[in-house]
Amino acid sequence: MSKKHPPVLPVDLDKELSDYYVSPEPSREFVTRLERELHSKFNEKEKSKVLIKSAKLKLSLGFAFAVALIIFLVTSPTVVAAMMRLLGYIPNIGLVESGSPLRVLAEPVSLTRDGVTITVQEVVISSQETVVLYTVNNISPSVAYPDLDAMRHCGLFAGMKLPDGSSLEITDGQGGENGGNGEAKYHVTYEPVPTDVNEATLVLPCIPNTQSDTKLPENWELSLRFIPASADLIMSPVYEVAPSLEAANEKSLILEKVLETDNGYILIGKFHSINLPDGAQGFGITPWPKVTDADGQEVSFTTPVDIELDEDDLSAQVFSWAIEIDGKQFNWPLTIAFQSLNAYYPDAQTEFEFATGPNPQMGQVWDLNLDLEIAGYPLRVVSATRTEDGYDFAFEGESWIRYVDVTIAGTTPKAGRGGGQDSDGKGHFISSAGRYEEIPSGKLTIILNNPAIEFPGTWQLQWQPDDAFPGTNLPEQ
Amino acid sequence: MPLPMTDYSLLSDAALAREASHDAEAFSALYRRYVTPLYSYFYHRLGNAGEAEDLTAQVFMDALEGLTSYREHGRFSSWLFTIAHRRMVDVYRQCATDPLEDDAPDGSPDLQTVIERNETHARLDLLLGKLDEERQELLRLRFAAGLEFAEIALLLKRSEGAVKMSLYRTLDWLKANWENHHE
Repeated sequence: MSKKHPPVLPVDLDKELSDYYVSPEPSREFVTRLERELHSKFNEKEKSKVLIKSAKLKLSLGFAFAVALIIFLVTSPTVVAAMMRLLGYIPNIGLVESGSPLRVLAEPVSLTRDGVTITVQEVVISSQETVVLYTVNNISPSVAYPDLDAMRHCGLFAGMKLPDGSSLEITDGQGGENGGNGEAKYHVTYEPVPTDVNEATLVLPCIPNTQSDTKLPENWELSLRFIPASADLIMSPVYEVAPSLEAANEKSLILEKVLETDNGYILIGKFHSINLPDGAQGFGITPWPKVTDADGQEVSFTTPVDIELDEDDLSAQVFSWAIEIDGKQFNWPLTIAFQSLNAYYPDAQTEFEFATGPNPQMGQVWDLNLDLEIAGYPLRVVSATRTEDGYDFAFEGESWIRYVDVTIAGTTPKAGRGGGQDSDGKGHFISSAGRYEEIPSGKLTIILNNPAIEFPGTWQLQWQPDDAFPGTNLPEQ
Repeated sequence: MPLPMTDYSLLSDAALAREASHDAEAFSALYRRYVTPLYSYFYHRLGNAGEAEDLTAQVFMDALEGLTSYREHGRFSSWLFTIAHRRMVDVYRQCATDPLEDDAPDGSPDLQTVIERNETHARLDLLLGKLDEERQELLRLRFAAGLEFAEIALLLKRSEGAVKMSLYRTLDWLKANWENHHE
């Protein structure tokens, strides 16, 4: 019997899998009907809310007064000091609520079995959450990343079991990378341990990133005991910064929080996008800011990994940022400057005709050199290239044009609709028109839309430590 | 009150989710954003368009009811797919004696289906059928539902690095076994 040859290994397995998992779209009828049903259910819920609202009106008026008072406190420099210690910072842990008592791990807990060691190094329990730092040591790379003969892995973070048998919900988790030195670090956040419970068990059914048939021990349990945090728990207070009147009016770049670390300062703030041209929608700040001292010397900084930023609010055009200044001795003040803003024009569109001929061949290139304009910006379509499953278009424009989306009018690609690739920073970029089962040919109308622009500009603020940091030795100005 | 002069399709999930508890248009925007990925996910779990539609509808009804309890520090997509996962667990419970993955289109396809598909897809059918459920789920979330690594990590309660590692290792395994497992 002749042996059948297998199909050739796909060059791009990612792409093959994307194609493999392409499903028939839900029917338009179903999508429309369900949206109508949801809309109807939404309205029913709103009606019931109205009844509840009228009963709560008096309470709401009282709440409105409280909100007004809080706004006054936050923006009044005279009262800021009184609020300063509501948030605290613990290195590696992040920002914690310090208004209520904190608890910590009584002592690090370590367990070694068959040469593998799991160590719970730190636990901090606040009224908001439980943060646990633990490591797994002495996993050899060959065990941590085995061949995939057995495909079962236990990739879950450790569980936290309370004495009554219940478990804390995991709300966030990071880590798990084996750095090649046989150690994997984990930073996992759980619900808060109830205030009347001072013991818990860290539970690992098996060692993460190992296969089940290795002979590593399973069913790990580490008993943890919690005690009130001592008064000298190393924790930096987080200082709320009251914006100056000028900054409050301008609102482009605002510093909201400052905290001092052993080696420098962490600054946390927001960028409010302003003065964009009509039709432009900001979606991020880039590149990362430039920090200079009073002499214009660049100051090094990093991105603090343990600070969880507020999510960007695109509707209000507000973007969060945080930097960790490396050092404390500078020629003050420092200037933090953002030098560009990414935005795009969702409604901008232009189009051109492109004739492929009757039988376009893979790799065929058409020199187009068409000068167009989109959202008021000049843009040249340099060429088109027939790819394996569609067309790529090469563009040339101002250096701050990042990409445009490309679609072929009247066609539906099977995947990759209108995708674009980022610019090389010099105005050259390529956008794909999507991937097709049957590649369109003949006279095509190519639609360009959604251009992304990197607006140059300078948005900056100045900062220097003040009385809020009594321990800082400032050089003479 | 609806947001003034807003193209909802431009807003982030978090912004929409904040508005969606009191703004029908914001909820509709989330619905339009996720109806196809959810349907696609269920379709690949169940291999049946009708059941995929039913479960997609149930998840959005659940989401509408539960919006007020949605906590913003997680990603909306992860929250939505957590509901989807719960719905799948319910289905498994109801069909405990007839595991659904046996019927899934990417598990053990019938001969006719194999013949009809091209050879590459048929080979993927065979190889994916050898993966355990965890790996298949990861591939479905990534390639059928189109979730980002960070979203999958939150959903599966694993680190982003671990999710990436699992996926890359699965791809490596697929490549390594591409030629070895032909029948």
